[in-house]
Amino acid sequence: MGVHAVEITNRGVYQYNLGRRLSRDIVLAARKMGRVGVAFGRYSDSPERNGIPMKWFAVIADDNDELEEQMAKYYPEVVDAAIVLDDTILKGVESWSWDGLHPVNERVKEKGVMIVVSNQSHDELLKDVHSKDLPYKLITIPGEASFAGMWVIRDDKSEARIMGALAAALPDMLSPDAVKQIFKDKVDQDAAERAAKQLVTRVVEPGEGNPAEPYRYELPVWQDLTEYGIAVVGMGKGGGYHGGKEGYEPTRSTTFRKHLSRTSRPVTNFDACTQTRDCWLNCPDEAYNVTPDGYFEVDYGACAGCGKCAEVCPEKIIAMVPESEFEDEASVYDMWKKDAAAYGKFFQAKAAKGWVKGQIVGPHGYIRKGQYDEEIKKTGIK
Amino acid sequence: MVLEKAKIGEEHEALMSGCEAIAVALALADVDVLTGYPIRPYDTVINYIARLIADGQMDADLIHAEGEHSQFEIVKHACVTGARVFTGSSGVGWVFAMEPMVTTPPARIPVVAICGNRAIDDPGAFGCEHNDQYLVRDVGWMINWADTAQEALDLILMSYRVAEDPRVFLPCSLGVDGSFLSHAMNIVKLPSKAQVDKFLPRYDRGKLRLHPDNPISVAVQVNEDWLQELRRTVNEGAIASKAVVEQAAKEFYQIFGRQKNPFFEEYMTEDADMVLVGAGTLSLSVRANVRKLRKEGKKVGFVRMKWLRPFAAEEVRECLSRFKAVGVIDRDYSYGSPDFSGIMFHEMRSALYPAKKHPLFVNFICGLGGREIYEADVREMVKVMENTIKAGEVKETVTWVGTRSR
Amino acid sequence: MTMTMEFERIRGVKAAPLPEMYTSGHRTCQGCDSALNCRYVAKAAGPRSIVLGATGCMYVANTSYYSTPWAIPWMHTQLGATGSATLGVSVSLKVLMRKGKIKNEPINVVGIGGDGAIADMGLAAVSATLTWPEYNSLIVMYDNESYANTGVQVSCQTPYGAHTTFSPVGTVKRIMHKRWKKNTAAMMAAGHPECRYVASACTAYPIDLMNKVRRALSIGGPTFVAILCPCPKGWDFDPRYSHEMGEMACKAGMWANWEMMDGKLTFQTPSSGIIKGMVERAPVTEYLQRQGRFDHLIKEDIDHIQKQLDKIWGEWGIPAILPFKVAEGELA
Repeated sequence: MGVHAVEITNRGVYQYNLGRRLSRDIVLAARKMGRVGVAFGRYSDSPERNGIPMKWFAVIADDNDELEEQMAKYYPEVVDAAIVLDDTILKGVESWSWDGLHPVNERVKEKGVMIVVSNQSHDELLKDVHSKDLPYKLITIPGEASFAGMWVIRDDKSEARIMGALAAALPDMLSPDAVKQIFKDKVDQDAAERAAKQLVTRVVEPGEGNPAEPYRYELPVWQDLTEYGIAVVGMGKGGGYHGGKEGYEPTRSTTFRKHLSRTSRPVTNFDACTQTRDCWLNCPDEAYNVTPDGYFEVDYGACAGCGKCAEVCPEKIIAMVPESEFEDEASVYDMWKKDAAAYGKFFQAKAAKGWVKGQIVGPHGYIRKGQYDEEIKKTGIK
Repeated sequence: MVLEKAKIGEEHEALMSGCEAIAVALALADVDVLTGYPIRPYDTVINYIARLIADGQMDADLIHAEGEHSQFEIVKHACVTGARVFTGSSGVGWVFAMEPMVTTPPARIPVVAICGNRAIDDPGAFGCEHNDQYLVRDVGWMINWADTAQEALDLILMSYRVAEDPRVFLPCSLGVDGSFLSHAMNIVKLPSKAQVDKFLPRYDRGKLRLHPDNPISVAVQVNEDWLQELRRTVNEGAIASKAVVEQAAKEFYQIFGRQKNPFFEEYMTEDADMVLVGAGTLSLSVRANVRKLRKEGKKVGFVRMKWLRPFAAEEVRECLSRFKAVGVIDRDYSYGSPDFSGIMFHEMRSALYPAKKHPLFVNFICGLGGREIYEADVREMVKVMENTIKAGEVKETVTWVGTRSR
Repeated sequence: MTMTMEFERIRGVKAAPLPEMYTSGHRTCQGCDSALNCRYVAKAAGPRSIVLGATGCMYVANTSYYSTPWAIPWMHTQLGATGSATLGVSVSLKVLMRKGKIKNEPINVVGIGGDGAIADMGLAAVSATLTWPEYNSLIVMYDNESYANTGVQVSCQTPYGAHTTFSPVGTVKRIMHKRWKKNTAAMMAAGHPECRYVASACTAYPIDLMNKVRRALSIGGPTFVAILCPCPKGWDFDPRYSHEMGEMACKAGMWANWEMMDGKLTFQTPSSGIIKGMVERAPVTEYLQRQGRFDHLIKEDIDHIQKQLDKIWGEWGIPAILPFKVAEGELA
């Protein structure tokens, strides 16, 4: 059987517990099969931050010598399966400054699998996933991304379903029987079995997917670090909007963007905007530019998708729209300036897919006591 | 001719303790910011500094910190902002300041401090031991030891010169033995302000200065992608410091006529078979007894270490490999270390490993807790070295000299 | 004394200055109001400022890895060293200006530390700095009510009963954290007779926050402002509600907005309305039930918290500030 490795990419904080449990489940299930394993997170992800993608790993082997070779590493070099717990992560993973953009399928070995929890079609997903030189299988488990919070975790059966799916996708690595053994509860076992039957699989050929080149940075050699040592030059102080004399646009980091932390992005109905400035004022990521005509334009490279702006807008004219609705980071302000009527229609269509202040739609964190239980009840899971 | 009271700025002689001499050096060096917190024996220097400031003989701000941790943090950040700074501590006070101390060299901050060498608790004791200063030897501090009040003054000026050199930009600590150096008073030659200005250039931090004209972010968080390279850059500074010490000593000698030997001083080593090696005020007793033993025909000499960091390995190798036996005197301890010996012993023996000729190395732990080094002790050390040479091998590496035992 | 900066009062949201001295690219959580606080403080202070940042989220999350969001000079300092680092820079600037080694001009020195850094480990150093009237500085405590960066552990600012990694909800012990929150800003105001400015603010009231920062920086001498910064990760709530959490905290009386300036104490919205009796304090239940860190609280816990708040606002010598009164008959 050799060595098998699994990589789990999840949203920081919201899916931390789920990712961790899955990495452990893989090792525990492997143990039922008489194999040894190690589960670990990525040290530099720690502490995990709301929304910022992070990773867990499980490596299993037939004996301790084989396993030892894989230990004391930050990552396995290649993985048999990459599990992605939130399909918006497929746009790429930018974990910290200078790390650059990493495709989610980067480590998937030739003919390996990528398992994604998603309700989208494969074609839609492949618009986001970067193309690889090697063939692999794309497998989706139908469903919403599992979202709980930091302290309050409610079991929506994602754990069981994903383990069931993994066993079905990689029978060489995990047997369905082993998965059954680690879930004592019949409801979990059933969920695992059902998920195994619900998988939608497709082979992805070399070159298929998002053709965009993931940006990377070259880390300096030590000689180039002697000038400043452990200091770095500060950020610029910004200036006029798009280099002009009016408005304001901050200088933004060139080595770290928050855009890949998002599951949804703010879109403004500019026609209805009364320019209260609350969105701009409340943004913890300084993502808003101030246009010369006094409007507030999101720089989608910088926006982390927290939803504060939508929530504080007194006019309720900012909609948080799922990332799956967008293929690029084009400015919606530019769109509106070009053709306000067309933009109006665009806004209505997008807003319908998301939420404005007062609405609760889609994956989210803790909102009020009891609400997770209500949602679980709605899914019919006992 | 001895003057009653020191007049800062004019060249003259005065009777003063090590601490007072250091205070005068600081005034001459136009130090800007100092911090103090009471702990013996270093804190006498703060008393003198306070007096100089109160009497208008030093233009600097003295901050009475609420603890040693803050004491060293204050000067660290004052120094990054471009101020010439000074502070110090002793024993457990020095230990309490460890966090700011270890974070000072990586940001290339040339804090100059004195370590008023004192035994580390427990039990509490004020007497001289060197472990406190040794605690910073691995993290980028330069360290040196003075043996007289004169040398304390000289090495303070040297410390600023070397630390603030842009090729170095590392902090430097001067070891000042408690009581013997800190408090005993001797005649000291005080240089003029003009001489000091000639030797010591203005502290200029350039691009590393913290000021709104230079918006940098200092000491940003890093991970495994960065730290190895960043540590390498600090290592460059440590490597560069050796040449800077040599150059500074040369310049010092030209202006002041002292510090001819940059890293260590040899005493009666010309035709010696065996030498004792040590640092700090133990040198006074050792030299006196070496003279006595020489009169008795013993071919013994003494090498007094001044700078332990940077460590002048080539020079030490060249010097010590001339002798048949080397007895390293450690006024410190290193429990559980190889051969259960002292810190300087490890440094010296390891430095000699690549030498073509290996003297027989023995270690003397003595003078702990401020115990004097007596004539009997030095005689015992020489006896051990003689026996070792006779046997042709080291039978017992370590001797705890002057220890009451059955 | 060296000169202090002169500032215009920010007269409303429309007048908030545009330039960002703390800008995009920090590895903070979605909805991080501690980061937003850095943005406000830096914005209010302006370009002629130096910031000292203690270890914590506003160090690690801001500068990970080998990067910075600061457009103004910034330096890391140790967890317990906000006070001493800030003092070191202020002293240095003053001496260098006095000696003519640098240009004589107003430069703001701002130390920023979290609740762990300021109210726990670094309390002595902050207190010491507040005793030196000749050195201008501002120390800001961003209170997210835990040691957030190390994974959300209890600090002396963590509210009663909150779930943290050091006070988990267990089968035998439901409440592991029973200590009431230290009244840090009030302690600073009461304990340092020559400190001219201490204030308490919240990121949900940004104009008030920024004006407090400006008043602190222009008044002269050492100053202190404590700022409640709702933390979506540590408190466990959807980050879209960070602003609302701050408002709810203040309206329920879990936090108070006030200002002590040259010996006079005033309250600001919404605490001012509560103090004057014009607005009822909101019952704390709703606030507690909006956060996962309190999800495990039962009626008896909530009642206890409510009772404490009633005492703080109804019985204290100075509501929300001074927990004691002069005993009856003591005064003439």
